[in-house]
This record gives sequence, structure tokens and C-alpha cells, in this order.
Amino acid sequence: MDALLQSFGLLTSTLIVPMAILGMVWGIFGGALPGISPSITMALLLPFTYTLDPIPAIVLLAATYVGAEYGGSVPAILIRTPGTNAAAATLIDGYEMKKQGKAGEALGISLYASTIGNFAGILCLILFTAPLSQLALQFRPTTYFALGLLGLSVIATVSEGLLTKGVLAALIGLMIATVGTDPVSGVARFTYGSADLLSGVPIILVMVGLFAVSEVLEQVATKSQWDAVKGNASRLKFPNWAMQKRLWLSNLIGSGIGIFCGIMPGAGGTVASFMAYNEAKRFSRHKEEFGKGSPEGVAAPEAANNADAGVGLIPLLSFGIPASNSTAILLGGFLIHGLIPGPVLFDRDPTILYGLFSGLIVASIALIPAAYLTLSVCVWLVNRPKPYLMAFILALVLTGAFSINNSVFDLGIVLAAGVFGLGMRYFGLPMLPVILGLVLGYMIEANYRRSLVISGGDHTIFLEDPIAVVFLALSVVFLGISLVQEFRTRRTDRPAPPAT
Amino acid sequence: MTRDIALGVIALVFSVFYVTEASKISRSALGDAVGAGGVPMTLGWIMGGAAILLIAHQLWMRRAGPLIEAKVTEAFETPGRTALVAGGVVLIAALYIAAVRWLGYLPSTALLLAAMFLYQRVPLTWRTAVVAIAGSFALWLLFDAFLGINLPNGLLSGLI
Repeated sequence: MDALLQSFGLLTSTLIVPMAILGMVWGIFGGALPGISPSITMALLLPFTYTLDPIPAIVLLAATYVGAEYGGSVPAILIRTPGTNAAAATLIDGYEMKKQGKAGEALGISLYASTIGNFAGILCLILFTAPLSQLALQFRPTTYFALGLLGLSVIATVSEGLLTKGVLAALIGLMIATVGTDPVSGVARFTYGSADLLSGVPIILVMVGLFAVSEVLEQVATKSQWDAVKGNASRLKFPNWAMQKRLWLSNLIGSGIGIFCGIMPGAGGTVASFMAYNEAKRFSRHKEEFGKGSPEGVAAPEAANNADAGVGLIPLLSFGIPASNSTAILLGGFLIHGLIPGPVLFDRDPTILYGLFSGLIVASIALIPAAYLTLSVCVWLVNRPKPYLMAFILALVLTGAFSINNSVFDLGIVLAAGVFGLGMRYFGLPMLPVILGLVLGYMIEANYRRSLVISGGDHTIFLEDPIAVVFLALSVVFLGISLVQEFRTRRTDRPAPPAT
Repeated sequence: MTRDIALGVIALVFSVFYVTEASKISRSALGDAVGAGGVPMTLGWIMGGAAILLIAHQLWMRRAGPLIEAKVTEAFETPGRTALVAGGVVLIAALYIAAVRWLGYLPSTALLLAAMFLYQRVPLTWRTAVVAIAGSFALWLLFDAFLGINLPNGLLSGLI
């Protein structure tokens, strides 16, 4: 608690406050652009963080994440196009309210619920991260190996699509991680004589390429344009006291479900917001209004996806394992500054994490004025022709990638990762297992081999560590259940036989 | 479903290539029991197994009757066209990468923006030209002047 209080002192001495506000505003803009997910918005910022100190850099990325979750609701309400996947549930009643001439009210409710969800998520983050990372301090190489496998198997199994595709995606990430010098003996692997590859494939460049460049490639190939915002929509009306009283239950339900889904790796804001929408409808006194412009139908999903965003940081900060695309990008922000999130970081330099917490609180407070001030800019951005935005995003990505090492070779990696990402989108391969495999590859291999060096090559060492045994057993259970479910689901996927 | 079989075949071919390359990794005298090639070999074999499982699963499902094809995004409803359009963007980006050092950041980025506008059928007018040049200058200001990143001057090295 003392450390947390001390961290508030950082607010005056570092760039935390401006970076929290800047990240929040950038996040709102990114979230407001259809097709630009929070992870892409964050990926575009990654190169900028090189020039910052660690704490402001991490705060900038985390605030972007928070801002994007709210920003996604703006086009969902105004043009019936969710800016982020998680805002898809907000669209149902938000757009209906807009059609009834209540766009300002819908945006205000979204902002109010987002703020409540944010604070609920951050509170859980502050309460649970430290105790969990204390637990993680007991981990040995065998435990880390098992934890890495568990993280990969959970993400591979809960990712969209077939289990085998999730596993293939995770393997691709692990394989990319094997490029460069091997972690134990220092032998060069898959470098083909290139000195640039000796230190491995830079994770940041792969992330930027996979998320941002592949999105540009797909958007350019998509014929349809975004709808324009018509009429005067740039007046945001914060809910009055009577409306706030009406929304308390839906905000509570949304925040609760968001927290629950944030803890479950891979569930994410989209699942949370749809679950919250359904539950808010179930418990509402105005069920009949759902689907026809219900304020609760806007509040519950927004509270859920914002609570999910805060809680989703817990696995990253406690164990070093990102549970979503956005937290994977945040991990990239840590790695840029030579920091590895997890128990050791918490133990050695808690200031960084407490600085992050205080930055997130500042960002959540800044959300309300930022939303008011940026709404007209969001509307202007959404009304820009798509070709202009795609051209600028490509230029921004390439400039940012070049600026990391002043290397043209890096631009090649980003472009190659973008083409690869487009191929993954075509085949329906999920992105997160690739990133997780890439991030965890070193940890898994290094700890596996270290364990075997300790045991003299005896694999039973993994069975002597009870936590590792639990993690390995859970991995097997997750994979087994998913395999059974996959076969069952695919059987029921068939079209009904024609009537005779 | 055809798409999944194609993915399985590509993964299988890649796993064979990867295992072959992994088998060539030299063994260090300082190495451990697993060796530098041990983990890559294992990954290659697992990928091969997963690819065979994917193909077998899809073939088995096909024998049992037709399946509803998974929904794809608008771009992938016409994958051939998407590949061509994306190929054009990649070509523009590749030319930019090749030119940025000697041509310099400002002109090459302005050309990149203009090429992207034209490629997406935005007519080239004095307005789009101004947007491309001003956009390039704005990015240069942000990265070079503001963030202190040394962007290549190229042909303009005498001027900047």
C-alpha cells in the first residue's frame, strides 16, 4: 500500500499524466475507426515508446488500451459499425437510440458505463496482481516451463476456430522464436548466415506486421466503404441522476461479468459484452426495451468490456503471460525497455507497476473530459475516406518500424509479417497463439532445458514439482476437453437433410 | 473446408522442411542433453502431426456429408482478387523500402502516400498531392524533429 501511495508521487515527477491523457485520446481515436482494433492502435504506438522512459511508455500503451475500449462504441452508436469487436453488443441498442434521435444520450451512457467498468477493472488489478505475483515467486524452472505450456494450451484452445488451427498457430510462434542463437549453448539456428537474425526475430516487428500491416492489406482489398456520420451527432449528454439510478444494476452486472471474463484467458471483451447484454436483459425491469434502444443495453456491454480490459492485465503482470492481443502488445512495450513483466519485476522494481496503476487511474479519470473533447474529431475521422486512412497507417507503420533500429531490414520483417498475417486471416488462423508462442518460446525452451541440466537429463524432475504437475495436468485437460468439444460441435455443424 | 485441407497440406510441407533444417543444426560441445536442435525437431514433428490430424479430420468430415462453410470477411469472399490487390500494396511498400535510403524520407514517403491514394482509386488532384506532401512532412516532423529519430535524408542530405 505504501508503494502504491509513493507511486502517486511519480505523477508529478514523470510524464505519467501527459502520457495517460495522450494514450487515452489516441486510444479513443483508434477505437473509433472501424477495423482498427485496440491492439492495432497500440501497435502503431510501439515505436514511439522507444524514446520514453519505461513508466510513461507503459502507461501510454495501457491508457491507449483503455481509451480504445470506449472509442469502439462511438461508431457502433453513430454508424452501426463497431469500432472494436467488443463494441458489437453496444451497437444493438446504441444505434436504435441514435435512430430515435438520442445519439448524445447513448454516447453519454456508454461513457458513464465505460468509466465505471474501468474503475472496477483497475480495482481488481490493484488488489490481485501483487498476491498472485508473490505466489509466482515460488516458481522454479520446471514450473515456468509448465506455466508456459499451460498458457499456450489455454490460448490455443479458446481461440476462434478449430483447436488444430490454434495449435498450429502456437507452433508457428514457437518456431519463429527458435530463430537466432539458442538459449543454452549459443549455437545459431535458422539464421542462414544473416547477422541481423542472430538475436532472433524482433517480437515488436512481428506484432506490428501481423496486426497493423495485415489489416491495411485486408482493408485495401475490401470494396465497401464505411458509412458517414450524418447530422449533428457531436453532442454528448452525460446521464442525469435518474438515469444513473436506472443503470446501476446493468453497470454492476456488466462490471462483474467483465471481471470474470478478464480472469479467464482468451474470453476477452467481446464475450464479456454479449454475456453482459444478455444478463442485463434477464434482470432488467424494462426487458421489452432491449433491442429497441434500451439504455441498459448500452451500459451493460460497455461496463463489461472496460472492466475486462483492466482485469485482463493481471495474467501479464503477475505471471508474464498475456491473455489477449492487446496485452501481448503491452508486453512488447515492456520488452522494448528490457523489462520482463512477472513476479521478479514486481519484487525488484514495484515502482514500474505501481506507476502503471496510477497511470491507469489518471487515464480513467481523463476519459470523461477526453471523450467530450474528442467526439467531434472522432466523427471527423470516421468521415474520412478509407483510402486516406489506410495510406497514412501504412506510412506510420513503416516509419515507426524503421525508427526502432534505423534499419531497412526491419521494414522487410514488418512487411513479411503483414503478408503472413493476411494469409493467417485467410486460413482463419488465430493471431494470439502466434504472438504468445513467440513471446513464451524462449521461456519454455530455456526452462525446459535448464530443468534437464539440473536433473542430469531426467524428465521425472517435472513430476517432482507439484505446481508444475498441476499446470501440466491442466494443459492436458484443456486440450482434451477442446478436442472432444470440437468433434461434437463439428458433427452438429451439418446442414439439415432436405425434406423428403 | 477445402481451405482447411489446403492449410493442413501447407503446414505438413513446412513441417518437413523445418525438420530437415532443424536436423542440420550443429551440436555444441558445451550443449546439454537436448541440444540446440532438440526443441526445433520436436516442434517440427508436432506440427507435422497436427497437420495430418487437420487433414484427416476434414477428409473424415467430408466423407460423412457436406458441411456449412465458415463465414469469411468480405475481402476473402474473392480471395484471388484480394491476393492481387494486397500484392499491389506489398509492391508499393517494397519499392518504398528499396528507395527510402537513397531517395530520402520526405520524398519517398510523399510518393508512398500518393501511390497508395492512386492505387485505391483516389484521383490525383492538387489536393491529394498536397495531402501526400504535407502528410510526409508531418510524419517527418513527428519522428525526426520531435522524437529525435534520424530519418534518412538521401538526396536532400545537403538541404536538411
